[in-house]
Amino acid sequence: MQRSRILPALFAASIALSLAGCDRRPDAAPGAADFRYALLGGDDQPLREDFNRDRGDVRLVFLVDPICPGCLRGLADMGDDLLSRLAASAPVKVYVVFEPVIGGRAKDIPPAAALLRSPASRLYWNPTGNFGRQMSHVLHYWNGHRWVYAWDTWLIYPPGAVWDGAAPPEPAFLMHQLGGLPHTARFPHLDESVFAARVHAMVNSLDRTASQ
Amino acid sequence: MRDKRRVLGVTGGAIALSALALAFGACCIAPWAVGLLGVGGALLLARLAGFQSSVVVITLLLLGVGFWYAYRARSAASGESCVVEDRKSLRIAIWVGALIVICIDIASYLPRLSAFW
Repeated sequence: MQRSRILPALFAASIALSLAGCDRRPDAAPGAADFRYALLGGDDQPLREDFNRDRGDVRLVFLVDPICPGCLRGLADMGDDLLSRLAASAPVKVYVVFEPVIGGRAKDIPPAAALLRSPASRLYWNPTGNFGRQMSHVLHYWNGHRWVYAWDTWLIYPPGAVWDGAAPPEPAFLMHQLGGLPHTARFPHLDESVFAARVHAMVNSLDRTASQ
Repeated sequence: MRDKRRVLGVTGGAIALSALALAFGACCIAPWAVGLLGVGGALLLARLAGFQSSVVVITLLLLGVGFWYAYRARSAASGESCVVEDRKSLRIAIWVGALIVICIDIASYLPRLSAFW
């Protein structure tokens, strides 16, 4: 291969690898084997208990399938744009609920969770997929024809939110990447920078309240 | 002969790019992406999926170029003998290619549209 062709090929390869996230340092993220998940049963435990125990913190709930490429992109961007930039002491808790929407299995969870670059995130596996059906009603995912299953969805809960009913409470803010749901002001398409700004604003208001 | 190569080249390019558009369109709901490409490859596919419409436009432009080659009027330069070329088979090839490309391009948007039903 001529030298004039090698340089563009190397450039294209480096762009492709960095887009895929292969430029991350190995020590920047925990290994896939470091991730453990809890089974999410019919009573939504232990998510419900964790959620209420962390009252006072900003809580983020991500509903994803572990093999959905769009969800993986969302997880990677959340890791890059938000979670890896938060201080370790930031009052933010992350819960990721994995659902088998397009065929994801429990064994797919660790590599997907590694994209978050946040070992403190709590992971849950809901093999029945009932949690997504429940959340569809909580989030009012009605597209005018049918209820849209809740996945590829990214939620922010304020510090005061309490899960005291049968179903989870409504979030303060949500974003999604679902084709079956209109992208409106009520159901905005996922934009990691907007999502991160909302989280930072909520954390800052929490800090101000604490200092008063 | 030269036109035949050009028509086949742009038609083949359009078919290959429409297949890429199909992969972009299907990637976000396709269970095969992680199994086939790994997490990094699926992630790359998802990041590139935003270029689907641009790729579809390029396939249509390539088809336009192919039709132009297949249907343009050829005149022999003075002193040259008439160009004898099988234009009919060339035109059949571009029409078949166009049919394939348009079908694949439409199919690439079906996953998105089917989500509404």
